Order: sequence, then structure tokens, then C-alpha cells
Amino acid sequence: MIRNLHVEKIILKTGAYHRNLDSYLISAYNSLFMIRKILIANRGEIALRIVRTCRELDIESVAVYSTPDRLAPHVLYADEAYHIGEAPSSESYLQIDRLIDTAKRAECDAVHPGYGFLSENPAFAGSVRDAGLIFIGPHAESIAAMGDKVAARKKVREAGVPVIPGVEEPAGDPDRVAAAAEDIGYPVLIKAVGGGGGKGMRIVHTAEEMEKSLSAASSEAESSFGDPRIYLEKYLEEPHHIEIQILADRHGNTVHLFERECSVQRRYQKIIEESPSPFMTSELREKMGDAAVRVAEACDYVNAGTVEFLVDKHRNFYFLEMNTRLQVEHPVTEQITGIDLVQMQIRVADDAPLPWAQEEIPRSGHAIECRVYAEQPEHNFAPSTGKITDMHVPDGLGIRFDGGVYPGLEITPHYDPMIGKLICSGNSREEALSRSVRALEEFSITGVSTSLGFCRNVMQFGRFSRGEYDTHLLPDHLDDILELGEGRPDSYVSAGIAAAVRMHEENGESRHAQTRRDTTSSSWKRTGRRREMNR
Amino acid sequence: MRYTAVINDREIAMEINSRGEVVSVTSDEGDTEIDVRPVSASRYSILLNGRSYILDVEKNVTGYYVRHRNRALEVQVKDEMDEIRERYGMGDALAEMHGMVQAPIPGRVVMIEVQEGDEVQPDDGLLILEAMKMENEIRAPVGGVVTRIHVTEGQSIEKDTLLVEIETE
Repeated sequence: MIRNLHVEKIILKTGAYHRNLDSYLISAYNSLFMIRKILIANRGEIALRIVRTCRELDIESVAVYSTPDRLAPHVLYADEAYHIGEAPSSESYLQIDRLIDTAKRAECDAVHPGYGFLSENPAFAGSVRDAGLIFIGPHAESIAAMGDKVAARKKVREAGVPVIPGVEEPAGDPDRVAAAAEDIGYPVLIKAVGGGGGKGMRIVHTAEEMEKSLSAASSEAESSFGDPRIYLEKYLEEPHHIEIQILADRHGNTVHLFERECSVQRRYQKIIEESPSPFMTSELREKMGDAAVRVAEACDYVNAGTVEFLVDKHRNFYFLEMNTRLQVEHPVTEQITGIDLVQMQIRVADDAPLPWAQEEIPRSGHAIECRVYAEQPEHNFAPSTGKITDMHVPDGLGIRFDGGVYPGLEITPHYDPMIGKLICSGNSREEALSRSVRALEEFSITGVSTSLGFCRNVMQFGRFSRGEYDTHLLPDHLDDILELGEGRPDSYVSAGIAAAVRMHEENGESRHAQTRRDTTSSSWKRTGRRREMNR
Repeated sequence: MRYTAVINDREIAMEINSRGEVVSVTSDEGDTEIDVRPVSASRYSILLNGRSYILDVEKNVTGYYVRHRNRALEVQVKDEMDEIRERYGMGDALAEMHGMVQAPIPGRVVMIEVQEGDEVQPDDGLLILEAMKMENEIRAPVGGVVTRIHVTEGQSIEKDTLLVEIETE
């Protein structure tokens, strides 16, 4: 096989090989690559998204599915699909041996893990490699290095990237704790070793408060978690969750693809992401981008990854963790750079060098992603299950929907309740914002409750629409945001009529046991015709 | 057949004839020209004096859940039978329904936070339901006294299982 990196680089740089070149050139170009067939070890929207890029690259895609997923879109749209087990993930999508057997049986060259499931499991990446297949992601060693949060923190600090100042060893002696707090700098957060989910946390603003807070926190930790041990961490004021997309090839080149603002979170899970961050400055972007590249280099990273940071109101940033995979919110970056990240993942895994230097990476406009979950925002975001009975997806300029469902499909409790992602782009944040509102109002899903209306409410909430928000947005303003979704009085009459008509249909159905809708001779259509004739 | 829809204390009365046509509507807005058509499984198009509305209608425990541009309205509809039942003192079925707390999703009851006889305020936690590996707090839809708890800790339940009954004042 002829492998000419320089040629590859030129062709990649034109970015045109799958659009403008004729089929002879496409096949000549593809012959430069080893990867011709990919097993996608995932389901849902991300599996479908990977299938789509494979098709554009003239690479064959192989789907896997659990019993209830037989009719899931990724199975329908992939070139091949194989059953790998029962509904629980542990019996299907997490079965390493079965996935590798399937990949070999189907004669795949590579495996794409998507996100979630086995994507950050070093044993899986290692097994794929040991089976003689290409893992479309980082080395198993890099995944392991970043998966151990304490070791990762140490590595990152050594690379000169700030981590959240804190005392890692559980502290006991009050004098030592007070001294450590001085070192870290007030305000500090006292956290219970056994705590979690916000419980057993206490903010201390001054040295004077320390002694009292310490004993209170300690006894609270004892009574709540049966463990009095506590540790200290710097309290970040009005923190933003901002992450940097990175991309690294196997030839020692690492670049970043700018930031994503991910501060809109409920239950510590992201729901809306955007790029650029309204909080970002070009100076901070450069600093955080450099830091993210250093983090990636510190763990010999290849392929796509994301370095997550917390940024306080003074624009100090601190490493949080590195996600060694494609992120759910990667389309936001694709929209503002025009770069297909899955395509780059596949090419880089196939030894292609990155086609651009850092300063050549394009960036324009603004993109906002809303995650569409089957959930009930008004009931503490509890997941919603059931059959999707009806669905109307928005379209038009600047709208992208990465979905994995269609009407008739059942949302089961076995998997993540995300239905898909709506990504709206525009030349400016204002344009992306009003486009998002428009699309979220056009989008309709029935049969399960969704986050669609809630996301629209967030778009229209003052702090969000002005771009003045941090991770406290949802926890602090949830009730006000929910209230924005109430139906307006000008729709009362039409809503009342629609509900009554529905009841009338149901009454008729129970009386005559008729099919509710016969589209060829609906009484509604007859009504319409008569009305027209009477005019 | 006469129907009365109630939305946030607003009443909209209408007559729907045997052919399914909305013959007349009485609301605060006076005379209206109406054209109603189904669009798809749960969707209706209504032209109301020329104004176009797309409405998605779903049935729920207390009545109908109607969305217009993803803004939600709870609509209760009474037909003639309901009005007769009400007149002869068969109780306000709708209000009673409010105190019947059902499981919004299938799952497992991991903790019950109230006891029979407890007084609860609207939004107080009643129990924790684990579903999709997440713990979901089921809260009181109305204030009142917990009269019955129908489930036990550890029990797996289907969607719409009656969990708790609250008697409102």
C-alpha cells in the first residue's frame, strides 16, 4: 500500500475529496487508507451519526444491537447489523468479547466506541488492539491515565496546568486544616469524604468562621455518612463549566478546536451547550486552548478528546477532567468550524496527519445545542418512557437534528433517555438563539414527555439570553424557568376545542368501536369540504 | 353533544354535532369562525377567525395535555354525561383525581418518605422511585393528609401504578 503522508495532507486540506473529486479519485484516495469497514460499538443517535460519516467516506458500517433495539435507526441505516445480546447493557453493549468477535466475523478493520458504554474503558481499547483491530480513539494507556482522577490531577499539575487548589489527603487536625485553608485562599469548601451530590458541603468565607464550620461539618459528616473525615477545596465563585475540544494525530501534532460552554446543567448533567462561550475572551481562549493541548500531550493523547475546566468569575480556570472520547455536544464545534469530527477521528486513527496547523483552523458564527431528553422537567427531570406516537422535526436554515428515534419507537428504561440533539447555528449568538426558539417551538414529540419546551424556556430566560449565566443558572432559577412554559391565554380557546374534539372522537370510538381515524373518508375532511362549498 | 373545556378556570363551551363538526363555541371572545382538522396522530390544525393554531393533544390522568408551540396547557373536558353526574352529586371526580399519585414511570420504590396520616404540603417528597439508574423523587401534587400508601419499599412497579392517596382539605 502506498502511503504518502504529504499527498494525504494536501488532499485533506482541500477538504473536497468527497464532494468535488470524481469517483475514480475518491477510490484512489480511499486506497491510501486501511480502514474500509467499521464496527460501531454503540446505539442511539451517536451510532447513527457515525454511520452517516462512514457512508460519506465510502467506508462500510457495522451496527450491533440488543434484542429491543432490532428496529432502532442505527440498525436500519448501517450496512450490516448483528445481534449481540439482551436488553441490559451488561448483556449486550458492554460485552467486550462479543463485540470483538462480531467485528472479526464481519471482517471489520476498526471499532468506533461512540460515547458512554465502553468508550472510556481501557480494557476495551486494549482488547480491540490485541485483536489486531484499530481502536478509533486514544491509546488504552491514555484512557487509563485520565480515568484515574487522582493520578490525572497530578499529571496535569506537572504539565503546568492549574487544578482546583485543595487538600487531597483527608484533613483532621483543626490547626492544620486552618493552615491549609490559608494556603488555598478563602473562600474554601469543606467537603465530606463520604458525601456526594452536594450533601455535606459547607462554604467558609473567612478564617474566623473556620473553626466553627469545621466542627459542624465534621459532626454533620459523621451523622450523615458515618464518616467524620473532611477535605478542603477552593470554592469557585460563579463557576462556568467550559471545555476545550482537542484533536491529536499519530505524528505528534495536537490542536484545539476552541471551547464549548456547558454551564446549563441539571442533576449535574449538561442539557444545553454553546460555542463560542459568551463568557470567553480571545486571551482566555488562547490560554485555555494551550493548556488543553498540554494536558493532551502529557498523556500522549491521540484522536479526539475534551479537556473540561471550571472557570471562576475572575476568569481563573482549573482542570476538572479529560474525557477521552467524542462528546455528546461535539456538533456545536462542528458547526462553528465546519470540521466533521467523526471523519477526523477515523482519518487520524488511520495514521493521517492533521491537515491544519492551529492557526489555520477556521471558526465562524455561533452554535447552540439543546439535548432532547425523554424526561419531565416539571417532575425534577424524571425520565419518561413509552412509545413515541407522533413526531415533527423542525428544519430550515441553520437547523441540525442528530436523532435516533422515529414515531412508533419505544423509549425503554434500559438506556439513556436522550432522544437526540437539536443544534441551531447562526452568524451571531442572537441569530442562533432566535433560531433555537423557533425550532424548539416547531419541534413536537408526543407519547413521551420531553425537554423541548424546557429548553425553549431557558433560551427565553433573561440571564441565558443575555449570556450572563454560570452553573448556578438552573439550580437557582428553576421555578422561574419552568413558569415560562405555561400556555398563553390566546391559545386557550383553540386548546379547549382541540381537547373536546379529541374527547368526542374517543366517545365515538367507544360507542362504535371504530378506527379513530380513517384518512380516506374522515368526517373532518367532509366537514372541511362542506364548509368550503358553503362559502 | 355539548362539551365544556376548562383551562385555568376559563370555560369554553361548545356543541359538536353527530358528524363531528364543531357547530358553535361560547367563550369570552364572542362569535368565532372555526375550522378543525386532524393533521396526524395527535395533532390538530385549528383556524380560529383566521388565526392558525397547531395543537398536540394527549390524554393524561386528569384530562388532556395540550401543547401549542411547546407551551403546555392542562385541559379538563366535561361532556353531557359528566355534567349530569356532577349535578346528581357524584362528587368532583377531577379534584379527587388530583390526590391520587401515580407512578410517572416504571421503576422500583427505594424509599417511602411519608406515613399514612402525615400531613403534606404541595411539592413535599412522598417517595423515591429508582428508574433508569436514577433516583426520582415523587412529590405531592396537592396538600392534604396521606390516607393510603399502596406500595412498599423495594417493590417494582409499572407506569401509572397508584402509589399514594392524599385527601385534600
